[in-house]
Order: sequence, then structure tokens, then C-alpha cells
Amino acid sequence: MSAEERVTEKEQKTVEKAQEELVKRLEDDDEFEDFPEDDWEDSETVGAAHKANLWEESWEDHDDLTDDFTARLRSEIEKHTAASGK
Amino acid sequence: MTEVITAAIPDFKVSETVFLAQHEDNNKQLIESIVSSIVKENMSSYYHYLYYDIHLKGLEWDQSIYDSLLSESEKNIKKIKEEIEKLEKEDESEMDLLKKWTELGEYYAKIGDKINAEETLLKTIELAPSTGSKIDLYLLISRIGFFYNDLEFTKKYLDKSNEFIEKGGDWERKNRYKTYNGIYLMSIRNFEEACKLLNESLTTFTSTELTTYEKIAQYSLICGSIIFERPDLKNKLIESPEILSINSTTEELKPIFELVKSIYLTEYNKFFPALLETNDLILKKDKYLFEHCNYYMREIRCRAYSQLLESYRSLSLNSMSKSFGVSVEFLDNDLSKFIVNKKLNCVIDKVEGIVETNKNDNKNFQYNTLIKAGDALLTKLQKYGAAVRMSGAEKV
Repeated sequence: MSAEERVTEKEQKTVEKAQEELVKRLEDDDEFEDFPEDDWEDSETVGAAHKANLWEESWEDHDDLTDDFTARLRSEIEKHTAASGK
Repeated sequence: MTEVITAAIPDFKVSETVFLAQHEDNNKQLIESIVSSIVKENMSSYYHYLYYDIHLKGLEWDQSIYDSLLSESEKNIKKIKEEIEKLEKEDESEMDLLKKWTELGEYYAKIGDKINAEETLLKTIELAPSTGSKIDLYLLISRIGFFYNDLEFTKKYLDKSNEFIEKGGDWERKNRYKTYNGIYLMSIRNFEEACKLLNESLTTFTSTELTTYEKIAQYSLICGSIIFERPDLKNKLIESPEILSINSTTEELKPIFELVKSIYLTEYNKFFPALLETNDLILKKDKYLFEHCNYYMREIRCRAYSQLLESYRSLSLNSMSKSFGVSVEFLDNDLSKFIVNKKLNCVIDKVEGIVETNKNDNKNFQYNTLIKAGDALLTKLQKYGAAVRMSGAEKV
């Protein structure tokens, strides 16, 4: 057995040892992460109180809250019928 | 084939009246009609819900009415429960037992006891031998969701009923589901898918337990008006034999029918008056459409504007406003909002007073759609990744 081989053998052992430790640690991690399964539904979670709408909202939705198009349209049509009625 | 008529349990008309009462200032008559329905049908739980949960304005609490309703409904429930017990002891046929359980579930649904109705009906479904009766029962539970405007609840049970429909539902039930799902999709602003289902429902409609035929026609017109291409506006709406057969006798279709016609016939001067009426008489008065009123108003305006603009390279603001029968300022103001949001592909030249369309902007449009779709995909993937990590499914 040459010196070189002995070195690699030694290295291999360290590597194996390190690997074992790593596996062990990963297994420990596994156990740690074994939470019991969720037994509640989404609707029961804390956040569910702030119910989001089921449709995609665009920012225009909020824009429209301050901008009443129907009111403007109503007065516009009234103006127009008044003008054409003259 | 004899037509099966499913009873309107729970009564959707009551829920519609409640919606109107919530949104009208002078709702005295509506409240009276609600109270009379409550008394007539013994809806003790619903009375409690209206007063304590949604605080319906104008509704007064009368403990003596409530007590008498409650004792009456408890008596009925007790009676049905005793009959069930008796049947169970006597080992009577399963059909009879199933019938009684259904009766109990329906009774809970009728008086507005959502929790007990759901629980009882789920138990009944376990007893139900055939796929058909399971579907009917799931649809019944979903109606409770519609009744209470509980969209998530509705979706859950519509999905359940669809599971069984795919396993082997007959045409009658498939059609029924189609109408239910169409209304559900419309109520969550998925007008595109709802449009197809509702339009098909016009020829197959039997679901009088959920809504009226007039409403289905109205919904088809509303969804179709922003979804259908121009030829389909004619073929599937304006000249639909089903719509034509009730159109002249149904006041509530008029505004939206006129609106669709004004777009199809390019009679833009009729567009805004019809739109305003559609808003006042249909959108604001419908419990499924109310939330989407502003959205609808935007989409339909966008459609009308772009339909007119796409025929021209440029158009003067003056002539465009004349076509629509509104003032230049009004139009200018409205158009600019759509242009800023990239909904309309044109620019306004204020100095010359013209609107110029950018027709050959296809590349830009494609680029923008790609970015938008890519963005949505990334968000979805991230959410999916997070969900997988949370559930620990990746290790399996």
C-alpha cells in the first residue's frame, strides 16, 4: 500500500463519516419537520375573516369607487335631452 | 318524458327581495313582503339571520313572532325525526327512509337553517343509492349557497355535484348543472365561461328552482354583450328564437336588448341611454351582477368605443361625440381613461381635436400580453411552490 493510497483511504473514511453525520442530521431534520397534518380548512384560518373576492380585482375597481361614471353619464344624458328638446 | 319540477327550496325569490331591500332607501314594502314570506314559511332561522347577522335595515325584531315561528318549526322537525326513527326501527324500505331524510334536509333549508341543512343533506347523500339522487341533493345544497350568497360554499357543492355528473348524470341533470354553474361563474366575474353556459341554457332551461327564464335571458344578454364577437351578437342574441319569444312581453329585457342592438347595428346614439337603463334596471337590481356593475360598464364602453374607432385611422372628437350623443369633454375624459390603461389602442390629439388609432401596434400588444401572462404564471408557480413546501409533499 503506497502512501498515496493510504491518504486516499483515510480521506475516504473522513468523507464517509461526514456523510453519515450529514444523513443523520438530515434525518433529525426530517423528524423535526413532521408536523401533524392540518386538520382545519382554509375557511377556518385566522386570515379568512378578511375575505377576498373570488374574482381578480383590477386597480380600476378602486378607482371607480371615487369616480362615479353613472352619475356623470346621467347628467350628461339629461343635458343632451334638454338641449335637443329645445 | 315528464318534466321533473324541483321545488324552489330555499326560495330564491325571498333572497332576491332581501337583496333589493338592502340597497333601496325606501324599502318598507319590500320588508313587509319579506316578513310575510318568513311567517308563511316558518323561516325562523332566516329571520334571526336577517336581523342579527346582516342587520337588514328596516327589519324589526319581534320576539313573539320569532318564538311562535321557532316552536312551529321545532315541532315539524321533531315530527319528521320521529318518523325517521320509526322507519329505522321498522326496518322499512330504504327508499322511504331516504325520502324522509330528504324531507328533513329540505325543511331545514326552507327555514334558512344553513348548518343543519348542510349536515342533514350530507347524511342523506350517504344513504342515497343512485348517482342521480346524489346529484340532486348536492345541487340542493348548492342552492343554499346561492340563497345565502356564499360563493365558496356554492362552489364546493357545485364541484361535488359535477363529480357525480361526470360519473353518469343524465342530460336533464347535466343541463341543470350547466345553468347553476353559469350563474356561479357570472357571479365571480368569469363572464367568458359563464356566457357560453348561460347561452346554451336558453334552450334547455328547466331550473325554475334557482331562477326564472327571464333572468337567464337577461344574463345571456349581459354576458354575451361583452364576450360575443359581432356576428354572434346577432345569431345568438338578437335573433335567438328563445330570446325573441319572450322579448316583447318581458320589460326587464328591454334595456339590455336595446344595448346589444345598438352595438350590433352601430346605432351609437342609442348606446348611452340604453347603458344607463341597463345599469339602473338590471345591474344594480341583481344580486349576482351588482358587484360587477362598474366592471361591466367599463368593458361595454370599451367595446363600443373600439368598434367605432377600428374602422378609422383617425376620427375627430367632435364627430365621435356626436355619434354617441354626448359632449366632447365627456368623451375626451372617458376615452383618456381607457387609453391610459391600454384598453384602447389610440391617442388623442388635443390640438387637432382628433383621435388617432394605432392599428399596426400588434407587436407591442403581443409584447404586453406576454409580459402580463408571464407575470401571472410566475406568481402562480411561486404560490404552488410555497404550497408544496408547506404540505411537505415534495418528500414523497
